[in-house]
Amino acid sequence: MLKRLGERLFTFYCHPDFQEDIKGDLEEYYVLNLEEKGEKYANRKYLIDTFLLFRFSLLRENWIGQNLINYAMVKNNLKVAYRNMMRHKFYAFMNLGGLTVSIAACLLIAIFVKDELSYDTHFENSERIFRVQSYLEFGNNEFDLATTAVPMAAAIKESFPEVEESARINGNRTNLITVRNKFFRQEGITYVDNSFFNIFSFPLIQGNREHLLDEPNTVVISETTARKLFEDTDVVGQIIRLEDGTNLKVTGVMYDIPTNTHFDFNMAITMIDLPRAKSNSWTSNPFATYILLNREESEDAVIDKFPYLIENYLAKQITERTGLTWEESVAAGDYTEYSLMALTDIHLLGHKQWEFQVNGSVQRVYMFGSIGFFILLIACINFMNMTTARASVRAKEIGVRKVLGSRRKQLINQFLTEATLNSFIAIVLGTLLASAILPNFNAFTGKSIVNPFFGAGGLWPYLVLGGFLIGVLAGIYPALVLSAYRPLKVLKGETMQSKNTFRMRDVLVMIQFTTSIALIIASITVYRQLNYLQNKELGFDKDQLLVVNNTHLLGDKINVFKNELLNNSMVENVSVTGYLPASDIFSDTPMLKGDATSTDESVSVQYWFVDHDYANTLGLTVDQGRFFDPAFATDSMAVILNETAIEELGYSGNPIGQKIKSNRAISDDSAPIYTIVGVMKDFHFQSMQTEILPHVLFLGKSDFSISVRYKAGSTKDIITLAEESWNNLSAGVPFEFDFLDSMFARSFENENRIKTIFTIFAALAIAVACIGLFGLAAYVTEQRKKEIGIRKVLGASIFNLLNLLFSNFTKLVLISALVAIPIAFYFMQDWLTDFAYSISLSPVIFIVGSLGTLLIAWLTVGYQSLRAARRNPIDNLRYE
Amino acid sequence: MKKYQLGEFEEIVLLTVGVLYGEAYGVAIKEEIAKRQNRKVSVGALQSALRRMESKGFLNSEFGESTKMRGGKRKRYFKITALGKKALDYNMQSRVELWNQIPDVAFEFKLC
Repeated sequence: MLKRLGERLFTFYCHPDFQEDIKGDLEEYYVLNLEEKGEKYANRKYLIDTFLLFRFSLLRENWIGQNLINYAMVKNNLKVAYRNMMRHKFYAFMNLGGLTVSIAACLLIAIFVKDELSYDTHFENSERIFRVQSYLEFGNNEFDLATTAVPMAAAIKESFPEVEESARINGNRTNLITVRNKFFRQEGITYVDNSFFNIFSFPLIQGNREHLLDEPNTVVISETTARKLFEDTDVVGQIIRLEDGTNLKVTGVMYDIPTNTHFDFNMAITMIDLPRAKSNSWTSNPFATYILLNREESEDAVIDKFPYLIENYLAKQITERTGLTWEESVAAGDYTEYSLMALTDIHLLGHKQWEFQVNGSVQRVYMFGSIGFFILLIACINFMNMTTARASVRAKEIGVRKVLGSRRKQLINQFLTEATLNSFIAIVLGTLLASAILPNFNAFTGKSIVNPFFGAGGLWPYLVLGGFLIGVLAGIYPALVLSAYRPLKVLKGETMQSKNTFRMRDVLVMIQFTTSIALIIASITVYRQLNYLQNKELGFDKDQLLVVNNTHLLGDKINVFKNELLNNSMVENVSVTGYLPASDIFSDTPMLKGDATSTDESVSVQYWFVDHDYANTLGLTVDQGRFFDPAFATDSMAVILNETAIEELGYSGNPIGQKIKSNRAISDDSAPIYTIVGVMKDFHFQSMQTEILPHVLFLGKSDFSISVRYKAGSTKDIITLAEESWNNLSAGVPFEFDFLDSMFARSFENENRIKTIFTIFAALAIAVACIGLFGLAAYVTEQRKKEIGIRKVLGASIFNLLNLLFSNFTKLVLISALVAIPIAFYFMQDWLTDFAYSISLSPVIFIVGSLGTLLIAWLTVGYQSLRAARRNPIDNLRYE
Repeated sequence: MKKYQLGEFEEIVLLTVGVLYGEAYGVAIKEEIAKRQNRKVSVGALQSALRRMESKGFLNSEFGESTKMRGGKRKRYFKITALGKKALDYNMQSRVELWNQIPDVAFEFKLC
């Protein structure tokens, strides 16, 4: 890309006699650089060389002649532009200010978008790496998984010659680990195949890439983790102990995983002796599987051959287990399909179940991209409007120039030069501004982007290009209009603006306001929707709930801990369970009605294990029946369902006492059958963006955390109390706690960020549009100064005058609103469909958006107008 | 003598062209200068110096063979002309003359 640009540039200016051999030389340097320093460097160097080759002695001959004249002209044009800016400092300031701010905003958006697009591109061979995914259907349930079956990796590598390497990765947990008898809470613990590091070129600080994880109980850790655990990175051979007592030997330290990747692990443990990695089941899909293809184009070949995998592995297993052939099982509603996703697509397109993290979205990239574009457009329109509006100031100059023999082309050149000068100054200032804001922007978006503008690989060539582009875009219309003036008319002082230019200016103002109104409506909608989600009835009480983690490490003492807590008067209820809302738990299984005879009508339900105190502690509402009760010994076979589950199972009438069972019960008589003892109201146990799924609570042991419901106002005391009690029992395991409401708030972090970014940029767009309007109003008022004076003398009131000055702008804003509302409606409707629970687009939003803009426009114009209307008419009318 | 004027860089390029007799084209000259003078030369500076000297008549050039590495483009080999030789001679002579004119006293640094 850069190379081709350079080549074109060179061909453009270089003397044809010299082109062939110099291009050959450049090609040779390019090839040398390509071998030594890589493609990026070579490309860049090529472009820089073509810049440096721009020498007088190498230019085209006709250029040399012309350039001498142009040089003087360009210099003169620049001088005139500079003087003009100095003479009208106010306008120059507004033009530059608006342009600078919008360019800064655009640049920030551009680096945000660029960063979003750069995900996972930094691996060697990243274009040849693919993820294997599975799509399942059984009964009426669909599962679109980012993961696939355990034996997939081995099978695919063995069966397909196109697959050079395959590797699995599984799990991402946070556990307590011990190093030299000290406890650490470690996030991002995962298991990977030995071949994982052959596919992904994570750079290593320590360790031998060939033998990282090929022995049992070995682990590769990240730099930060190494520093945290050992305060050193030279730690190969050191031991890390897991919760279950396994000792792991560190075999490698890798540099921290950059933020622009969809992986987020800190410790990669070998899968060699992981029991679940040895499973041969094709019917469950717990492992993320990545493959390295021999060529990028082999993707289709592999996809075409997936039926072979299904036939030879999955279908055989199904037949063994159920006696059904593949076709029969598909006909019965059990269906599986595999697919590939390119590694570099995962961040923006991967929105399946079991992703490692919440990925970005293409939609968002488009959204921000278009906001950036519109902000720039608004600023360019400002420039056009102000330049044409102020034409009368320049009209005499143009007339004189024309009389003295300027050709139209030269005048166009002059105005383009002015525009380009403006845009270059704005680009320089905007870049500085963006660089200054970047740290805050990073902190805010949670990214860590280094300043991409300066330095050898910087974006500055694009900025230079952008400077020209903006200059030409913003300057071409005024240049054409202004250069078309008839010198005779202009010099006689006749009005030089045809009706046409007025209308064009109105259209431009309308474009600005249409964009502004649409953006205001959009941000109000986004704001209200997210507020709605955060304040929606949850179905449980998230406040005053302390969560103490790692309680499974207490072992038998967990009940002592629970009782100690309960003994305090601050504590209302305590529940022992790891299953909490907002904790991203996803555990589903198909269940059937008690009398079902086939799996056709199975319903996929989420199953959670809780204790007797769960409903009271979390504040769940039991609608029918009862919650688990210690008084009933039979409760071990009892279940509580939520309303959705009851409905999906078809037990709407009287569900209490009905039975449910798992799919296994069809073929296996010993499988348990559960009795429904209670129905709870639906509560949001997962993200607010997803619909409430069928949910079944079982009575069972899950001791990963303890939830404590305490009395309001005793937050501090409860922490002290729990910590003291914990320290007495825990034998050194650190006390870790959280609050359910902050866990909940964290699950909204991402959305809130988007909301704020969106609002800021929308506000910016409006501000820039208002700068333009302000300038325009100032100018128009100035123009009509005499008219206002005369009207006032003749008896017009201030109200009459304001009406006169406002009416045009009001009309423009109202027409813009009419255009903007359908556009905004269409896009916001589309956006809202992504949410399971959404607000309806009430007319209030549109009215508020439009009237708000009108109000802002009035305020902007109002200052100028009011000043003009209140001025003593003598000041306006007096001559000399 | 204005006719023989050579800049410092031009002189080095001209001499290098002489050194590389028969093999003097862009890339080779650049590498030779880098090797002998330990000096990085930009393509732009080198090429403009070459063309300038060619138009002054110190160098002439002809197209040579093309290789695959160059994307099928021919090399341009430079040769020193008789005038170029004269310019070099003149330059060296004028330096030597100046050198010889320096009184011995000028190099007596003991007193300083």
